[in-house]
Order: sequence, then structure tokens, then C-alpha cells
Amino acid sequence: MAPTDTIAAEIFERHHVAVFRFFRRLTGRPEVAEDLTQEVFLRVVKGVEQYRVMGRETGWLFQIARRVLIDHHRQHLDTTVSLSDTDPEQAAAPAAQVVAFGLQEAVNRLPNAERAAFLLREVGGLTYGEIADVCDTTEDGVSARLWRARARLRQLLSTRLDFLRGPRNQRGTL
Amino acid sequence: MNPNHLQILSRFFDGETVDPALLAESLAQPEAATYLAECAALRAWTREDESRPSERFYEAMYRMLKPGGGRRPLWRRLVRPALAASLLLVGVALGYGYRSRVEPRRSTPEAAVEARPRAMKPAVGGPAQSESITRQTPPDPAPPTRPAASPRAPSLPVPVAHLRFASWRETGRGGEEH
Repeated sequence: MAPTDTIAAEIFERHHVAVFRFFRRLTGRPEVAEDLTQEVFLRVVKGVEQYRVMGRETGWLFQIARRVLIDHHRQHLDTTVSLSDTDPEQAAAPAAQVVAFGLQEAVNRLPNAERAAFLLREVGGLTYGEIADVCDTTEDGVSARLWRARARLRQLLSTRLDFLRGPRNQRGTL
Repeated sequence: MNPNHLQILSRFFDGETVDPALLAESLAQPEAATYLAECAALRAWTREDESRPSERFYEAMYRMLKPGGGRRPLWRRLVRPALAASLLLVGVALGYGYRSRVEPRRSTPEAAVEARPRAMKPAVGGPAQSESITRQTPPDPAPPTRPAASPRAPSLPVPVAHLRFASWRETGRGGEEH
């Protein structure tokens, strides 16, 4: 096996599940997530030489994932899968009207930019710096997106999180 | 707890660098522990996803990732060279066919060379007989079959025409070749 093939195969083995789950959480559709993941690794095979230069594997991989997502968004005009949307209020559900959500439903209700940052952190395991590179923003921007995403999720999932709250904190916080 | 406290705790939870004084202040908030526990719950729920791609996905991926999988198959890579080679062969064959049609009309000297073995046949005896024939051949400056205007005429070797007439006229033995 040629060296580039080996590197691409190793990257695939290490990260394909994380990339797939990232896309699945982001789109909510497994078949779309598979197609997007396949496209990511197709581009990995073609551009594996660049990875040798850059060295930061996870960040590089999710950079590719971001571009795949943008291309997918352009082709399908699917507003649920954009990482670059910076409108913080878009797609955000009024928490007061929400009684109970599963995690996926709650994640789907996050604004695009917050959802992407949250999933890159929790599913992809990226650092703030890597997320900033992927999302074309600053680390402070990532920090703000992440705490806002967590705040929204805490609201949306408040019923499920009640078991963590003592009697003193039951009123909910934010 | 204000948004600054939440942001500090969120960064701390993610392992990012935070200001120690601000962290201490944030952790001192009454709901800080609950907030961190909820962040941990969200992380656990997010990561408890056990979904994996389908078999179809893996088949396609391993086909693509195996050595040469991302490239075109061998037969497809050979199509163009094979086509070029075929065209070249066809061109050569056509050129040869055209030449073989045109050349006999244009150059009788070659025809004369062709005739040499037949002319020598009656004169069985080898080189010596050939010598005698040569001596008997009268010098003929203008062979009737060679056009004077032929561009190739000046470069032709003399023995070609010479042998032709030697065998034709001088042997004169029965006309086997006629």
C-alpha cells in the first residue's frame, strides 16, 4: 500500500465515526451524514499531502467537513446544515414553550453557528482554536457560541436535567 | 450567575485557559456546581451516540481507500494509449498500402531490380556467368523504361539498369521469363 493510501486509511479509521456522528447530529439524517462523510474522506484521499504539511489532523479534517457542508448547503439549499450562519437567533426555539426534548431535537433547535460549535467541541473534540479555524471566527467567538449553546440546551432539556438540580436550584438558571 | 460567569465556567469545563481570579469568582456562585454538572450531562448525552454508518458506506469507503481505489481502473487508464496505438497502426497500414499502389507506377528501377533474379535464372553457373553477361551488354545510355525526367534517375546505381538489359537481351535462352 502506498504511503498516502496508508495515511488516508489511518485517518479514516481514527475519525470516520466522529465525522459521521457530527454530520448526523448536525443534519439529523443518517443517509445525508453518510454521503457527507464519504465526501470528506474522498477529499482526504485527494489532499492527504496537505495534511502532512499542516500536521493538525482533527482540525484539518473538520475544515474539510466544513467545506463539504457548505458545498452541500449550496447544492441542496438546506438551511439546517450551515456552519457559517452567524445569526444567533435563527432557529432558536422559545424555551418557555418547550416542555421536553430529546437531545437531537434540542440540538436541532440551536442556531446554526452555536450548533456547529457545540458539535465540533463535543462530538469532534476540537479545541477552541480549531473550532475558530473551522468556523472562521475567533476563540472568544467560539467561547461565546459554546456557552450560549449550553445555556439554550439547558433550557430545552431542563426537564431531563432536573435530576441534577437540588431543591434550591429547581427554578432553573440562566 | 451572570453570562460572564457562565462563559468562564464553560471555558474551564472545556479545558481552555481561564483567568484564575475570574474562575474562583465564578465557582463561588451558588449555581456553579449545578452548571458544571449539567454541562457534563450534556456532554455525556451527546457522546453516548452509538450510531455508525451502514454497511453500504463501509463497502464504498474501503473500495475507495484500498490501494489504487481512488484512481481509475487499469482498463480505463489503458484505453487512451491503446486507442492511440491503434490509430498509429492504422495510419502506418494505410500509408504502406498507398505507397505500394503508387510506387510501381512511379519507379521502374525498383521493378528492374525485382527482375534481376529471374533474368539470372537461365544463366545457371553463378558469378562467372554473370560476369560474361555483363561484358556482353552494350552500353545503353537511355533505357526505354526509365523516364528521363524522373527525379530519382540520377541517383540510381548503374548496375541496376545494366543487369536488366543483360538478362533480357543477351542470355536470350528460350524466353522462359516472358
